Amino acid sequence: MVSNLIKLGLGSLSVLVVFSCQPSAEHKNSIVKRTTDSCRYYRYNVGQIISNLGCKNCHVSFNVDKIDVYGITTWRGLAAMDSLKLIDYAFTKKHKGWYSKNGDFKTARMDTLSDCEIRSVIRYIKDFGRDIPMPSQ
Amino acid sequence: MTTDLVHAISANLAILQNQPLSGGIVAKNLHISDNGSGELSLYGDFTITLKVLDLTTNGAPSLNNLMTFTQQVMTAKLRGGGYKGGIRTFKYNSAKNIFDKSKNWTYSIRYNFNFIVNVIQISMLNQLKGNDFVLAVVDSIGHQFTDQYGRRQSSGGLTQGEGGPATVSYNSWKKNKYIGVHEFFHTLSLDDIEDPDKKNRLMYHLGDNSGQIISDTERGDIFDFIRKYLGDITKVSQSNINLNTVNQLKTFLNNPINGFKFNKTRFR
Repeated sequence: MVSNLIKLGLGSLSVLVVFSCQPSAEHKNSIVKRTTDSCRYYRYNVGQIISNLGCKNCHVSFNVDKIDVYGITTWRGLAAMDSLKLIDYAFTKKHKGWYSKNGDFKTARMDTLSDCEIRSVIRYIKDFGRDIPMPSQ
Repeated sequence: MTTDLVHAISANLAILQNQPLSGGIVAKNLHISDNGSGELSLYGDFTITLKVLDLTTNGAPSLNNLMTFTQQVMTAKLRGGGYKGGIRTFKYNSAKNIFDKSKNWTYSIRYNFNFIVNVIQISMLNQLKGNDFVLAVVDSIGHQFTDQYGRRQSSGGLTQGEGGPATVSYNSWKKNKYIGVHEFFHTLSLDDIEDPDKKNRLMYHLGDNSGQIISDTERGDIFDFIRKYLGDITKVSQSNINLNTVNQLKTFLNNPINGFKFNKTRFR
């Protein structure tokens, strides 16, 4: 009886181990997603997006401080932000609605940017803070 | 006591005001015209000075020729004014000649800027001021980068971003006379280009260039950068802001990631 109970227990355990070692469907999907991600970072194009949005008109890029004399976060200040905070700060709910469809800057709506473009813009900003030199030839 | 202090401050301000402006960009005769329909025209006479610091071990006999060439190309590329639309900034109040920080506005800006470019050699760091532009000539640059095709590329020049110091390897500069201008235009905010259909552009940086064109958009970006870099474009005369160039250059040259080889005894 005891022996049967032990056998049953060990059997259940091995079934559990086998199932727990199988990748879940969700995990498999995430692998597929990662390998098919076609978002490619191209610095020049991102620079054009930033130029067209006019980000650096307010968030000046050459200021050594993180906040300028007008209380506006500089480019360096943006680069020092955590990426998630940066997305929230720049794209989600900040800019006081200026870039929304009824805002002051409605002609350059940020919500028309694709997810890839947003990620690329974030990388462009973060690269500035990482002090990566610009290579030439 | 208070009166003395006020007099002392006034006297110092007067001395400062009478001193000629200096630095990488000196602007005179600045003025703004607003057509009332969303277009500003900016006028001004600019002198851009790039100081070249030779840090090579064995000297650079072709340096004068390269500097003259760089000066000529920069002058040519900056000529002709520029235009940039969709500039989102603050509303310009022409009556007060100020930008109202409480009101947003979208402008097109027509740049009517005239440039004089000077590329001059310096031999000592004390000839370099905090708001100067500098191009340091080094023996070699170890830094490599990966291009968009995944290929590793070596660097003939390296610049520390907008407003920052630029460097060029002497041997690379001799082989490609345009590298000096290319690097300095990074200082003036332009990015590198790797598009195969833009090989005719000065900022294309993979070595197989078919030309050295600066596009109208790029010229607009440079003028836009200069406008912001001056701090207050509404003043008649302005110089670019102080970014402590000597310290920036020192940090840049000694960053091991960049792999600069140069004669350290000449950095004095």
